[in-house]
Amino acid sequence: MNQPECIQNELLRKTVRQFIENEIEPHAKEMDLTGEFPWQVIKKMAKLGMFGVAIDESWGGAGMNADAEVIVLEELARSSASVALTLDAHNLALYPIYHHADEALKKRVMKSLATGEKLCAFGLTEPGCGSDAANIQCTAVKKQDHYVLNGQKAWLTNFSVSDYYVIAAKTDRSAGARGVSLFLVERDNPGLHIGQEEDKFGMRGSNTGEITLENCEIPLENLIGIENKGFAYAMETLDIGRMAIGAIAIGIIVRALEEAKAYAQQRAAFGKPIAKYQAVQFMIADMEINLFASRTMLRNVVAKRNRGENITQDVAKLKVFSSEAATKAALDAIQIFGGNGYSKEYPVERLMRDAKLLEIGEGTTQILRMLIGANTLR
Amino acid sequence: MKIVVLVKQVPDLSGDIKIDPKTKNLDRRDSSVVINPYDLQALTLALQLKQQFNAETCAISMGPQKAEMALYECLAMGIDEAVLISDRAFVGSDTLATTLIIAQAIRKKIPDVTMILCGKHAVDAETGIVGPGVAERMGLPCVSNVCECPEIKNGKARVRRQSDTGYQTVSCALPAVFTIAETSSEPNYIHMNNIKKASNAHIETMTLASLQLERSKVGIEGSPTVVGSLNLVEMNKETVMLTGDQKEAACRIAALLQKTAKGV
Ligand SMILES: Cc1cc2nc3c(=O)[nH]c(=O)nc-3n(C[C@H](O)[C@H](O)[C@H](O)COP(=O)(O)OP(=O)(O)OC[C@H]3O[C@@H](n4cnc5c(N)ncnc54)[C@H](O)[C@@H]3O)c2cc1C
Repeated sequence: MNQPECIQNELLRKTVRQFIENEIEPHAKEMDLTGEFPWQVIKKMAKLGMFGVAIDESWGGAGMNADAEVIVLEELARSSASVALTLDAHNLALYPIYHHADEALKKRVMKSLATGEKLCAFGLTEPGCGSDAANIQCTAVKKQDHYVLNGQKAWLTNFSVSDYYVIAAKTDRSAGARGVSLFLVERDNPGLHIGQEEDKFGMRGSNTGEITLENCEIPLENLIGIENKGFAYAMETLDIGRMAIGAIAIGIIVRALEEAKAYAQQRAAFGKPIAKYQAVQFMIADMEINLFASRTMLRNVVAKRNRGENITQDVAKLKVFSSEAATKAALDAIQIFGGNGYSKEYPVERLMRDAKLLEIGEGTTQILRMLIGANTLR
Repeated sequence: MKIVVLVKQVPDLSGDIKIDPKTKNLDRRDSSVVINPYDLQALTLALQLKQQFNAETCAISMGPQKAEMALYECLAMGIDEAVLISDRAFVGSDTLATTLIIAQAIRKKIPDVTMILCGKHAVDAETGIVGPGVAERMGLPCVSNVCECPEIKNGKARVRRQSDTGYQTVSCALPAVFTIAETSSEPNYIHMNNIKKASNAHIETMTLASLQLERSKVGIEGSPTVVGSLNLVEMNKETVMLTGDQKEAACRIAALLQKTAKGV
């Protein structure tokens, strides 16, 4: 990393941390309790340019690199993983457009997405399939001057707050993964129906639910990139998303560690602070070790991405490791807090509920271990 | 219009602070640093004046190399140019030496400066002398504790300042030095889109040599100030919890106040 990049990262982290402490932290607990989407926070983030840090300046972004992207996500997750997930999901939908859509489509939507003026959602998962993503049932049939989309999408983050939806649908039902295409669907399309919101265990400040596409007609220009290449685009954006999950996991570990350390130093039992007991120290030590390992992995993946190299294998390792480490760190933080850790009055149980999602979304731990193992044993 | 803002990087006082037992100064070794909060107010006013008058703005900081970070922050906020005054020879400078160095830097860098803004004091050393000292050395008028954006008309400034007893509005000729107290202007957050450009900007460094100053007038040699001793202010605060309904509580407060007033 050269000097301007170091300065950039330091300046960025300082700026976002200050913003988050003033503008997000005071609402983080409340959005978890109420499950309400934090529009105020999102609008302020957009005003600050937090949605497009790694997008080119020509589209209204800040023109920085993957370092910037993960710094923002980590700092967000340290306060509210829900808000970080909202941004991550937005990016999942934005990247296929940014990397593969033609200029005309980009001209229509990129600026409003990179500036966060509008939000978007990425719809790959369906009620019937998540991990087995090549088996999606949603279809897109090409007519003379439009496509007709039919099907159901489940678990979309930003499902009812978005203006744009990037939807994976089968354009060739006989071709499996090679028959999937990605489409841009606009919110006001009469064929798009927004369904029920999920009442989630964690990530409660993020907006998750189902949508239905019913004879949803979209112009041919809304095809993203090339027909039947959608699965590859989806996997590519998921690679970036898994890097984001690594950053969110790190944010959660950092917070768990900060909370656990402060609590252990002030809580006394048997005449001394619990921090003096080795059993507590070991839990803190594990957090430190896992944080260090996760950070090292993330730094590696980010450097590769900045160089334009393939990150599929490494980012899978990062995601498995850091998401499990985040759940463990949060669970250990609860343990260190004792009974208080089990109460919603203290922040650590939220960390645990939020962390668990990281082992499920954007490729489960099992699926990613299969991907890694299969590659090794090829 | 040309505006200079003096900026100091100070330890973040929201965390723990330590005093070096030998020098009786703040131990800055491992504390995180921020821009002095009053300097942030000065920067905010400078940016308002920049917008209003298309003024050229320059931030100047004296400090170690790592104070550069504060200047990059200024650039990302929208300040046009930044200068770091840094030299081993300047280490240990007290306010007398510091004002000499800063005044010289301003003369060299922006000889036709219109306004010099700085915080009313730095929250680490709390002397509040640098602003007035720079004014004195440059032969300029100085208004301290300014609490609103100066109004500029016909080469003169009207400024509202805070005094111990209330507010004063003062007129003064320009160029002038204004030290800034709390204002009602909230500093803006840095926009993400400014960060890359600011990080790539060039920050000019001024040294003993480039400022053409005598070595004996700066640093420890040029600094007669010695901190004799430090005493903790004894705070004898007592918290009394009042119970009962509003009426009862109000009566008790009144009684307590009477008692305290007698004590005084
Ligand atoms: C809060 C939240 C937000 C989400 N946001 C989005 C979004 O924005 N867009 C989107 O498209 N999706 C989203 N998802 C969906 C998410 O990506 C899926 O839940 C995930 O991919 C798993 O799919 P599934 O739920 O269908 O589980 P399944 O695929 O049914 O898996 C169930 C279990 O079986 C295991 N399993 C499955 N196949 C195998 C196998 N071959 N070998 C071993 N084990 C296997 C899995 O690991 C898992 O443990 C979100 C989910 C959540 C919870």
